Amino acid sequence: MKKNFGEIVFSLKEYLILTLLVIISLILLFSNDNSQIRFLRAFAIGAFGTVQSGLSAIPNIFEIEQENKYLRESNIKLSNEISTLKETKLENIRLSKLVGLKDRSNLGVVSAKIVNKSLIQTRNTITIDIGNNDSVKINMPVITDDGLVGKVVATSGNYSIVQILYNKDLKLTVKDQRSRVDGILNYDGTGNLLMTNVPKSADVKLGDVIITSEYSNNFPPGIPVGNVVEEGNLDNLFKKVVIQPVVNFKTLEEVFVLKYLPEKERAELEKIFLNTK
Amino acid sequence: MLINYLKYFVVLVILIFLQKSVVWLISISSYNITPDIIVIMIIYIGVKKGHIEGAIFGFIAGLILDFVSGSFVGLSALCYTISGFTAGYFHRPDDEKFLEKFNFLIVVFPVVLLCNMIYFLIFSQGVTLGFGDIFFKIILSSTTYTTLISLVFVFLPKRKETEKLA
Repeated sequence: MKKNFGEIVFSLKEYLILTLLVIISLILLFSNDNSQIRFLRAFAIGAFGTVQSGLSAIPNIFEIEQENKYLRESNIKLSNEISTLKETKLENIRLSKLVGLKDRSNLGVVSAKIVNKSLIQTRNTITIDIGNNDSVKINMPVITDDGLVGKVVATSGNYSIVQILYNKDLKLTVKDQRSRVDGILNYDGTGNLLMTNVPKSADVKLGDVIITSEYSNNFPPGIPVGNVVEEGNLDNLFKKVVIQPVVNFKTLEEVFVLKYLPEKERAELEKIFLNTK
Repeated sequence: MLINYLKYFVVLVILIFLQKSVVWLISISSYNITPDIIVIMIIYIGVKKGHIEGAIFGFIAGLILDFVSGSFVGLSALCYTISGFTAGYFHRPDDEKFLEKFNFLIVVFPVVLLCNMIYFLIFSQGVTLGFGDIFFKIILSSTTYTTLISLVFVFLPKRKETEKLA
């Protein structure tokens, strides 16, 4: 009997191994927020990032020409903007003093180099070469001089993973800079960034600049996100607004992590209120 | 035997690095479809060595890939385990006909299709795309692209041929 059982198990060993591996995979799949999994991921990101930072020293000849052109154009544009900004800054200081607004310029930034970039499918991320050792924390916003890139979702000692705008898990409150119309920005998984929850009657026009809203607790207000490139009616109630991000993710090589974290008191109050509702 | 397994492991690790760092340069369409070079190697191991080796190497490669990417841990491990195991059905101990020339493509296409079906149907949960769009625009195109890339393997000189040439 015992021998027969052993023979049966041996003859089914392939299927038993398959079942075991599938069960382990499924357990891992359902415990992605587990602290041990996070630790292992942080370790793997660190090891992988070290090798990748070496590889990233090899120039990508396909992108250099395009990047050069982009930088030249950007340089001219920025020179023009500097003079305008100087005036605006002076005006801003004056007005801030008048209305007692917080000075947002004291937010620290840390520059980072992108060592890996995934622009595939629906949940896109980038890996940057700074982490816990540089005081980078989960949920910190990531920007460039153009505008918003995304937010940090995982960190190890020297590397971090950033969820970018082209990631369907990233949703943020935004507003039209001109008309102050609010909406929620999300990626639809098909290559389009959409501003949703915009009423049909709202004043949104092609070319309008979309910025982060003060209603978002995760991002400081006023960071440029994109421009409206398509607007039409979605249904009887809402508009379909398609946004072109200001950041060019294909040529992106360096970013800044903004040392800004959600206000705990505000988040807790909003959570308590929503739970008691 | 152990040396062979070690070789497979090293090749898989190299392919994981290539998949994460270089392969996106040859992405196509607005959906950024890329070939999956790791699954090609796992299928090769499955056909060459059988169910158990295919499944185990698939699981290990998938797990490493999951940990180094920002995605769900366990998803690639699940898909590659099943792919490696399925490829084992084409294993012939005394005959490697499924590794010869275009026969390999006959194995690659259905196995990669199965792998992509599992992967994208879980990965695309919550996306506004319908099943038809996910199947034709992502799963099928990704499978076809991977199958085409596996042609590189078909044209690689095998050890027996190089020995014969020498």
